[in-house]
Formats: sequence, structure tokens, C-alpha cells
Amino acid sequence: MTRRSFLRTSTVLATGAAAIAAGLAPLRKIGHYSSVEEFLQKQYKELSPAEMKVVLTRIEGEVERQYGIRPHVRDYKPMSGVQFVYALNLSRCVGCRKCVHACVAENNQSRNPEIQYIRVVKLPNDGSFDLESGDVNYTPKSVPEAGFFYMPIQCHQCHNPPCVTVCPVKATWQEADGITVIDYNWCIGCRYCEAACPYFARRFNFATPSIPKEQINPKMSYLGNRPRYKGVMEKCHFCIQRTREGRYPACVEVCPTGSRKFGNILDPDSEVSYILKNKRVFVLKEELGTHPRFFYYFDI
Amino acid sequence: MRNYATFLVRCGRLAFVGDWRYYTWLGALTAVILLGLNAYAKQFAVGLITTGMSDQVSWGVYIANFTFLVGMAAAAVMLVIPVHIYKNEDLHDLVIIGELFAVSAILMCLCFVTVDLGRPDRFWHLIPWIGIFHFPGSMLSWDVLVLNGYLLLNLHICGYMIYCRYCGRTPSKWFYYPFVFIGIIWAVSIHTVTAFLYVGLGGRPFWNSAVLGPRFIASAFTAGPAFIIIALQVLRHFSTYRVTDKALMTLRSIIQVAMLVNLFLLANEAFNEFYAGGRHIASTRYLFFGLHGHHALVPWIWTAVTFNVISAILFVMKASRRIPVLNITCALAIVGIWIEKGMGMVVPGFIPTPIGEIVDYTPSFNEVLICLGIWAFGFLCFTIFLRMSVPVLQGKVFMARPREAQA
Amino acid sequence: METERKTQVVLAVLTMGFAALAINFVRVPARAGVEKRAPLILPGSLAIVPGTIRVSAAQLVASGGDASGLQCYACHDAKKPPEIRYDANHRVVLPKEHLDLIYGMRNCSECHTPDEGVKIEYNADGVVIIPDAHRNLAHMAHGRYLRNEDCFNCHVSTQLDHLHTPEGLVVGLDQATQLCAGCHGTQYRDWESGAHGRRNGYWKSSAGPTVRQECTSCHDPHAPAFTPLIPMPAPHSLHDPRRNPS
Repeated sequence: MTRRSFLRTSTVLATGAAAIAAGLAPLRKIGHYSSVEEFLQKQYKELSPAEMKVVLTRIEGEVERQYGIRPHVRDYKPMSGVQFVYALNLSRCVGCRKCVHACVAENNQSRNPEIQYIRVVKLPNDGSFDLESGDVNYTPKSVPEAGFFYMPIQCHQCHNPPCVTVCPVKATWQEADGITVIDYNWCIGCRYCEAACPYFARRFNFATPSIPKEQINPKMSYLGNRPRYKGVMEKCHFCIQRTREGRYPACVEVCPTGSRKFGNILDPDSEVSYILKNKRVFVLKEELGTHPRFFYYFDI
Repeated sequence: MRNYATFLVRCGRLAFVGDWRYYTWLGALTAVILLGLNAYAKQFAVGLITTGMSDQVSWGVYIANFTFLVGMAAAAVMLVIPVHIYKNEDLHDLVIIGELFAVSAILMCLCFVTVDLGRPDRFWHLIPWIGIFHFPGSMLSWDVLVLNGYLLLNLHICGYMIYCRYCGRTPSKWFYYPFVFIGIIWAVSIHTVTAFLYVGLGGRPFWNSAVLGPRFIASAFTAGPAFIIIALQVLRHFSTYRVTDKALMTLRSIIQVAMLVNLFLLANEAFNEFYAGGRHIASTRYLFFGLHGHHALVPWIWTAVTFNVISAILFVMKASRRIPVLNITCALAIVGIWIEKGMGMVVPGFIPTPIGEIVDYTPSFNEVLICLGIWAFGFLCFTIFLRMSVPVLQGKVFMARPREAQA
Repeated sequence: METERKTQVVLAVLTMGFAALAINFVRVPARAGVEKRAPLILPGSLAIVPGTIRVSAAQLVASGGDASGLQCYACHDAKKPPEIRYDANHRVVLPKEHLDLIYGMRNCSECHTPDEGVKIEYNADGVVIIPDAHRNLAHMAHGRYLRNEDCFNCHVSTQLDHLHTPEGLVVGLDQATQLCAGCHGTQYRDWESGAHGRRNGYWKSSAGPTVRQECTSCHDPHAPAFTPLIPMPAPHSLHDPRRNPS
């Protein structure tokens, strides 16, 4: 190789390298680089209680830095002898979407881009039960509209969840009380679970979530409503931070027509036990064998 | 061991040596790669909102290209089987080129999967023993295994064969024959497993069909050899490497069968969907005719069907024995299958959503740039692999006479 | 030498091309389409999910809240049952003074969102002026075929803030559910077990109180059917053209 050709080659390579470096310039726009601890954090189930304590404190710091509010993040554990079941009265629901927005407020969902766990489908009262002829974008002056009924759909917390089966890294699993949760620090964001879910219940953070500071709910849970990261999945978790304390989820609290019922199916006196025993209930897409814990029922 | 190191170094050097056409090609590819890299840096910084994907259509052209390229990689086996099982002489020397092509395709697949991840920084969660590998539960973990396994198998076979040629000795059968046969099964398995990624989702009736796996294989065995036919001619044109027309015709007869089987299976699928009817055909109807005023994919799929049918007819006709016609036919088949298997297979699976919402998907500009960058990267890899191995295969570069290496 | 010259030209062009790319990358770090979009939900609109429970007369009495509007005997003589007038259709003609009373028992937020800014107007005497659109809210709309047009079907004629059940039991306003059960047995049964109506607070009674909402918490006893609600905003898809008006 002559000196000239060497010089020539190295000039090309140098400008090439410069172009590579310049091409990576947008990386400067990353606001938040994950810390070493965050990067190396183990999966939820492998964390010892002591490690968990450290993680929770670290996350409180992260949230405070990002949102300017010091939250209280706890790791709520399932109660023994509790299996959650949800029942929704299709005769009563008027489609007001208060549940959708109460859920957003309670669970610190991103306002922009918009993430909502509950979709309310407006279906025609025409003798069919065809989700495809439904409409989720209805905006009439007032609801209910004549000739339609409303079917809210959210995570069905399946007994046999397809989303859990497909996850390649076990970042999502079913807890002892039946809630399927996600470790937001373990998810790699492949969205396979989103493809697998037959109920369109999972949501992906396509950008860094944004929540106005004054709207942050500071009472947070690790597996539940703490703010999520860009590039991870999230979904309805039956308001872990409420229900594992014995309280009703936000959507049940807010429903103006009392269409939403929640409780422990192992308790024979709970309202869900009564409904399953005495009402005609059905589950959505029963043929898929997912065994939802979310039942729809009608009055009478 | 030292010889092997010298071999690698000399091959590496070869990659940077060529005439002005070689530099133009490499430079152009690098420029496209840079554009793709820049686009990816933006996506990495801002998030996947830079793509056209949404919660409704959560996989797009990345996964479409991935699926297509897994097939291309598997198609290398269409050279291996004739040579090693049927002792075909025409293709004998081309096997290695097919395998290098497979390696490049797999590298592209890995890139496409990586850019599709929301958290590529957490890739280590996927590494067995270090992270948590959900095996055998998740089909995606199977896919990770078979793809990387296939990559290693092919690297081993190519590397070993080329190195033996370099050393001027006959390859020891024990060192590559078992791997060749494992590779044959493995090639079928990578594409079957990729099909199972989709087939295994009960909530998506469009994918949940037993014929999808065979369709994948048939379309891969059409598009892959079609691509190799064109690539071999390019190689023949730009180097002194000899590729006989007879070899191309052997590949043509392979494609003839594969293309017809592919169309047959597609017809089976269409019959199954449309004749019985029912709710689950919504996606198919969306794809072919549009649904409730949404027609985003209709022009795509009809282009694909037209291309596939024309190329199938041409492949069967004698006309495609003429090289220019053969090239057009191959190009039609590649484009047709790319659309059918990419946009036509991945996207409609999401439309309508399981709860009936219809949201169209169009790839964003940034997303397209990333795809082009990865394709350019694949072509760059394939070019460099050929640049390194062809002189060795031709006997121009070999051990003990290093001075002649400067070819 | 011809190829050598070509090689040189190619390499020079490449160098310049790379340099141009590099400059471009640094100068234009964010291309159109990559920037974040405008907020979808107006800030503040989510701060309050409008209250959804009627503040019923029963609750006011039970909670010891301001029930001054219900002081029947501020006007009525406890000894003398008020005379009820009917119109041609045998509907109760409600005295004007009562229109705002019934109006006040409704929860405005069932229809109005807080950011809507409902203006309440008063007449010279300080009585709420009920908009014409609301006149129908004050009509008795409970039961079919005008069978329930008589106030004293429920109210004790001598004690208007007391109710009498069909069995003749006299209960306070805060125990109206007892009265409702007389006619609506199945609903009452469902309500008792929790299938009908609302429960708030704690599902687990050992952890905290479960608040059972009474019938009148949700239903206006004079017009128990739910009034239409204004739905909260519809969802937006990620790349919805509506978000970018341009």
C-alpha cells in the first residue's frame, strides 16, 4: 500500500467515522439515562426484601426528579385467601367514560401520548353482538343514545393469560390474587404480549409519558401505578395500590350507575359471588380458553 | 491457530480493497446505513412514536421485514439440499455463497428485531442464564434460539469450508457433514418457528391458521432462490467468478415448484376464509377489499397477487429460460412475496383490533429510513463476505504464498 | 491508470458525501415527524372526574348537613296537611316554591362538567331561576299511568319529612330505601347483596367501611330514571390526525 493510498483511505474512513458520530447526535436529546442500578436491577421476583427497599427508594427519587413530587412507592403483596373477580352490568352501563378517566387519574397514565386502560365500545341494539360494528370514538351530546348499548373492555385478568405465555423474558406474570402484573423495569418492549392479548388490554409507551405535576397521584405501587418508562408495556392491574388494601378500584368507585362490581370470589358473601351465582353472566371470547376473571352480566 | 488468524486478517484486508465500482457501491451503502443510523438514533431518543405503529397496530414494517428475511435465510437450504442430498454438481460451488447470503439475512433479522424493541438497552434480559429466558414457553425465545443457532451453524460451515480451501486441503466430513444436515432441518425450523410466533396467537384469527407455516416455507423457497439467481448474475458480472447458466436453471426449477405451492396454499387460505365466512374473516376482508371505508392495504395486496401470479406463469413458461426474462420474473416474485408476507401478513393481523377498532398503519419516514439502513447493512455484509471469500474460492488467495494475496 | 483516477474521484466524492451527511446530522437533529405532538387532553380537564353521587335529601339528613331546604314545616303547618292540586291530566301541580327544591336535590354535575361554567341566576327574592330547559326536571316522573302522582303515596301527610312504607311503617327520609323496597323487591334483593347499586370504600370490610349507597343516592325519588350524562372525551389514537390540526 502506498503512502498516498493509505492517506486516501484514512481520509474516507475518518469522515465516515465522523458521519457515524454525527449520525448519533439525536441521542443527546435523551433526557434521562438509566442509572447503573436501574440498568442492572434484577427481576421483581428475584429481589430480596432488602433489595426491594433500596429499589423503592431509588424509584421515589426518580419520580421526584422527573415530576417534582416525592411519591410514596410501596410493594403491595397479594392477600391470602383472595381471588379477585370483576363483574360488569351491561344493562346499566350508559357509556359515560367516567371510569376511563378516573382510571387515568388514579393510575398516573400518560396524558401525552394518551394512554387509557379502558375502552368503552358502543354497540348497536340490533340483535347482533358484533364488536366490529362497535364504535369507541362516539361523542354525542349525551349518553346513553337510543338504540345502543355500551360495553367497557379492559384487562380481563385471565386465568390462562396468553400475554404471560408469550413474554420472552417473564416480565409479566399472574399474581396469587389473580392480577396479571408487569415489571416495568424488566420489560424489553417487544410488544408480543400486545399482539397476543385478545381483549386489546395492553398499552405500550411509545414515548416518555407525561403527566402534569399537579395531577400525579403520589400513592404508588411498584407493580401498579408508578409512572412508567418509555418503551415498556403497561395495563390495567385492578388498581393494586387500592385493592390490595381492601379498597375498590377507581373505576368501581366512580361509576355513576353502579354497573361495576368488584370483590373476592372466595368470599361467599361478596357481591361478585352473588352475581356469579344468581345472574346470567358471560365472558368475552370464551372460545379462546383464556378464562377471564372479568364477567359481564345483565339485570334479571 | 496462527494460520487461522492470518487467514482472518487477510480476509479483513480484502474487504477494503477493490476498484472504483466497489468503492462506489460500498460508499453508497454506507451512506444509506448512516441515514438509517441517524434515524434510529432519533427513534432511540424519542421512542417508537417516531414510527407509524400504535397500540392498535403494534408491529409494522420492522417485523414484516424480519419475517421476510428469516425466509430468505432459510432459503439457503434450497442450495444445500440439491448439493448434499442429490449430489447436484451445478450448484456445488454455489452452496457457500448461499450460506453467506443466509448469514447476511440473519444479521439483518437481528437488526430488525433490535430496532423494534422499546428497550434495546435491556437486551441482556433475553440472554439465557444472565437474564431470564422464558423457554420453552414463549415462541419468541424459541425464535431467538433458532436464529442465533442458524447464524452460528452457517458461520461455522462457511468459515470452515473457506478456510479449508484457503489451506488447500479437503474438508474433513466429520467437521461439516453433521452440521450440514442439522442445518437443513434447522433452516426449515427457523421459518416454522417464525410462523409459530403468529400462529400461536389464538386472539388473532387471521394468523391462527395451520397453513401459515407451510405458506411461509413455500414463499421463502420462492423468494430466496429468486434473490440468489439475481445475486449470482451480479457476482458473475462484476468478478471473474464462474456461474453457469445451468446452475441458474436448476434454481429456476426449484422456484417453479415452490411458487406454485405458495399460490396453492394462498388459495387454500382464501377458500377457508371466504367460503365459510364468519366473523374471523374481517382481517382478510380488510386486506383484500377494505373494511368500513379503510383501504390502506388493498393496493398493496393486489400488487402482490398480480406480481405473484405473473411470475408464477412466467416461471412455468419456457420464456423464463431466457436470462433477462428470468430476472424480471425473479424480481416480480421477490417484490410480490415481500408485500404478501410483510405488509400483507403482519399488518392485517392487527386490523381490526380484537375489540373491533380499525386504525390504519402507514410506516413513517423515519421508520422507512431505518429499514433502508438495515437493508443496506445486509447488502454491505453480503458484499464484503463475497469480496472476502470469492478470491479464496477461486484459489487466488491461499496459504503459504501470501504475496499473491493482493488480488 | 484510468481506473486509478476513477477510484480517486469516487473516494473524494465519498469523503465529501460523508462530510455533508455529518454536517446535516448535526445541524438537523430532529426531523419533522419526530417531535412530540401537542397534548391531547387539555390540561386540567382531568383534574376532577365530576362527582357522580347525588346529594340526596336522605343523605343530607343522615349526614347532618345543611338540610334547610327540606324544612317543610318552615312553611307548612305540621298539623294541616297541604292541599294538593292536580292539572287536567291528573298530574300534581307543583307549587313554584318547590321547583327549586327539587332542582336542588339533583346533582348538577350529572349533566354539567365542572369546567363548563354553569351560571346560576336568582330572582329578586333570592330564589333560583330555573331555566326553561329544566322545567321538566321538576315533574313527577315516578311510576306509570299516573298512579304515583299522589305525594302521600310516600310522604306522611302530616309529617312531610317522614315516609310511610306500604306496610304502614313510618321512617325518616334517610331510610327511604325501606320504602323503595315495597315496590321494587327484586332490585332491593340485588341491592342488599350488592349486585344493584353502588358500593364505595372498601370491598374488604375488615379493612375499612363499605359504603352502601342508598336508592336515593343515585335515583331522584321524584324522577328515578337516570338523566342523560355528558360523556367524557373519547380516546385518541397515537397518530390521530385530529391531534395535529395543521
